[in-house]
Amino acid sequence: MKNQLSIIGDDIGSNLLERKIVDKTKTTTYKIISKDVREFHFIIPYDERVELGQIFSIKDYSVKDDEITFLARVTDIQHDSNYDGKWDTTLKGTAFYDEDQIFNRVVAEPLGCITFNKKMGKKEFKKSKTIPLKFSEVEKASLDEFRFLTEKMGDLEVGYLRNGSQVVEEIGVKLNSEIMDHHMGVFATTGMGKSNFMKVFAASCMKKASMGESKLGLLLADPHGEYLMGSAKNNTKGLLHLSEYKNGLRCYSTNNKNAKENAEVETLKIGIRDINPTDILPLFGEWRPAQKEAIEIMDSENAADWLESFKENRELVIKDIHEKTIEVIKRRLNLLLRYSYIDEKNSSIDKIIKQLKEGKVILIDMEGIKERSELFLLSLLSRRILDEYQKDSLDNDKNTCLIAIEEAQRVLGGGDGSISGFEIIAREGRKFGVGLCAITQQPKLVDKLLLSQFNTLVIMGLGDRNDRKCLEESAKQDLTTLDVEIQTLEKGEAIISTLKVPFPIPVTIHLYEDYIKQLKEQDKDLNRSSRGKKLVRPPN
Amino acid sequence: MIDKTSLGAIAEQVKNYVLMDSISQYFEETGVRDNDFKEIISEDKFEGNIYAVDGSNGIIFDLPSVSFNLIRAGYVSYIAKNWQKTILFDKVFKADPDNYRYQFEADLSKSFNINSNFVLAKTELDRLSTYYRELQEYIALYEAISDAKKGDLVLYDGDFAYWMDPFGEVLKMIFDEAEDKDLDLLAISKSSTFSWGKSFSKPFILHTGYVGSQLISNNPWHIELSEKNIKPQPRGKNWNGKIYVVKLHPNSEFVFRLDAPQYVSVRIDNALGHLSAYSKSSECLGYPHALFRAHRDIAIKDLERVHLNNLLLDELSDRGVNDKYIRNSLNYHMILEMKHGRRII
Repeated sequence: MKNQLSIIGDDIGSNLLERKIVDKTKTTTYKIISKDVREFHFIIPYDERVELGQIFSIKDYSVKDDEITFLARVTDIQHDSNYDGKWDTTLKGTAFYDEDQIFNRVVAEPLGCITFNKKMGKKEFKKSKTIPLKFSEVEKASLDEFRFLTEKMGDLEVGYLRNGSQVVEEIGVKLNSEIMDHHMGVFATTGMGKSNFMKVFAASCMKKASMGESKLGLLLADPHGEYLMGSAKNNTKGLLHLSEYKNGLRCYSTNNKNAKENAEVETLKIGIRDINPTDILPLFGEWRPAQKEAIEIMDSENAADWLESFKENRELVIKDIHEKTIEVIKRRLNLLLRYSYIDEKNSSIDKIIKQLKEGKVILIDMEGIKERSELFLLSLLSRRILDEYQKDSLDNDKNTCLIAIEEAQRVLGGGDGSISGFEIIAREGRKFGVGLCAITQQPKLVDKLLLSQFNTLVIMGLGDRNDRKCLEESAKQDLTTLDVEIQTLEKGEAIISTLKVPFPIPVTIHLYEDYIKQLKEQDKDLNRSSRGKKLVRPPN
Repeated sequence: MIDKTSLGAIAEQVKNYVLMDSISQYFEETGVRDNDFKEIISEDKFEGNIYAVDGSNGIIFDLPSVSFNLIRAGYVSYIAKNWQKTILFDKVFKADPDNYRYQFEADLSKSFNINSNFVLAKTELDRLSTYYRELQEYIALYEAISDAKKGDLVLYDGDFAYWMDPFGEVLKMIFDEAEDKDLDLLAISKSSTFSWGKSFSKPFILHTGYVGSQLISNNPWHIELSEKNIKPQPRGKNWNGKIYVVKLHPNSEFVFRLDAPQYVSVRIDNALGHLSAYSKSSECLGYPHALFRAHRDIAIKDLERVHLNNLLLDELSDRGVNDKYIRNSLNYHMILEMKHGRRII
């Protein structure tokens, strides 16, 4: 237009400044039309379809030597047209003529851009700090444009990259075991695939451990008995079904029957000397301040045999504490000593910690025990693990450890601080290589400060807006634009936000039953290819 | 503030203007009769092309004695309901009452081979850009007709009868070309000043719509206006065509004035049958869809006008003319109206 204006002068009026032909071959669909650095808009024909979460690429080669391919993820799709007013609610005629004037406006969030680094001679992915040229062409992102992601992935496969609802099987999504001490959160409403995710994650950990390549020990509590053997009723499999990698798994059970029926399962024993006075706090209901004070006094005395002594003479002596208070504690200790997993001589804890340090998956089957027992056991194990890892804090080569907690809102809700062991791990565990894996369907009930410590978020379908908002506020990466997508995630679909990966990744989590089949196939291939050679994997 | 009583008196007059209190009075004073209203038989199987021509005018720089206007004319073409293309002509017109002729004469010579002097009456000089837009529309219309083939429908947004001067010769060429190609050329006006009534000028098109829709409720219809008592009477000296009021869809609330050159008027039923068949779109029920599209595609939007103005200011700046000089050259009304930034139109 500027050039046209510049010819205004002597011959104005006799010059036809511009003659334009607009026809069907010219369209503004699939071209960037607006808006700014944080939000790209393009339109598509009204009868074509794109999906939330779908990733598009925008090539802007307008600047020589600075060719950029932007990647942008669809965050919203809106009906739009070139007509103003309420034309669409007052249709009277028999047919709509100008269908090219109606379209869908696609709002996409820039994920970053791929630039060519001449010095390195390779493509680099960076945050985008500019906008594409107006009318730059928009295309569905190709496999090649996703390849850079493979370099950003970790070692524990959990699924495939998802582009909209299309699975990109060539790009596996893998979590990084080395950053698991930065804590992980797994969030989804019931039935959206939390347990399946945990089994897939555990299977990948087992595979690594079995191959002798594990950098992460995983402690997985199984209060519903679903991780161990799966569920015949739901036709699901458990970790024991992944027999090829069972060397990477160690199972303990509070249920003697389960232990007797499975050679791979040991009975869990908690030694009487493993228990500190404060460990019993989660085991019982409300504690009055005086009772808590008494427990803390007992704890401060650091008597390793305090419970042993009590067992022998059934007496407690706590200075300056009222007799009635002591009676309550005694009654509760008597109850504790009746639990089958409390053992005078043996303890599984040292073995569990050793196995965690070896990078194995430890499954604690707690089927049939009460919730308070479960919390007591997990709290006790977590404390012991943290204590042990603290002792090795100068050992930079040791494997990290991840402690998974189901219904994590029970122990990470903040409030009275009665169950502080997990909160301590959430705040300080990273320093010693101990991470928490909080599994919950109600992230809004987890303390916000604790939630902000979670650097890996696995978010599956969350219907409650407050849950989503809570995660958006705590996440290290911006999830606000993904609100609608998170709301509309199907079972097995997830958004994973994690360190070292430049943007929240849309993922289709493997179905565990399919994944173990796939692992078994890979194992067969591995055996075939290593026939006649020395096996890489250590023997079971 | 005007008091409520005065507003009430105005409202009463508007009411008398809008509403028609007596059909018999309408019949009596206009000379219209029941049987003047003819049903239009929609010809849905019409397979010709439809062309629609429109124009637009936007000031891009306004000085006290001269203004620069972006004039856009063009046409759209359809095959049945399917839009094919839109052709746009953009020109910048310098509206200078002392130096306007050569711009018209250059276009008349180039497009129509008319080489006479172009002189407007003094009373018309403040409408220079309107005349120039009209000329550009005729150029577009001429091209659309050239593009069309026998049996096609070519629509013009406006009327033919009043504007025979000063473009009578141009219109004659257009009509001759359309007749030679044996296509139907029609002009449809979105608004009309036709009025009726002895003591009070009442809207003729609107009231004819009321009457016609009562007489023919289930079909499109038309009425020809020869020898009706309406004001003003068409005054084009070479105008032999006919003027109609048409309702192109029974469910539409609108009726329009329609002008047909003489050669089309003799087969008007056929032409209107084609026209009504393509006035059924949801976007603009009862209005020829191609004209609707032409209006939308050709209109100069305010944003575009302002953008052009900004570019022009850049050009001026490159030539050492800064905003201060420009402001000093403007009509002071424009200074008062200036809202913000560099915008001066």
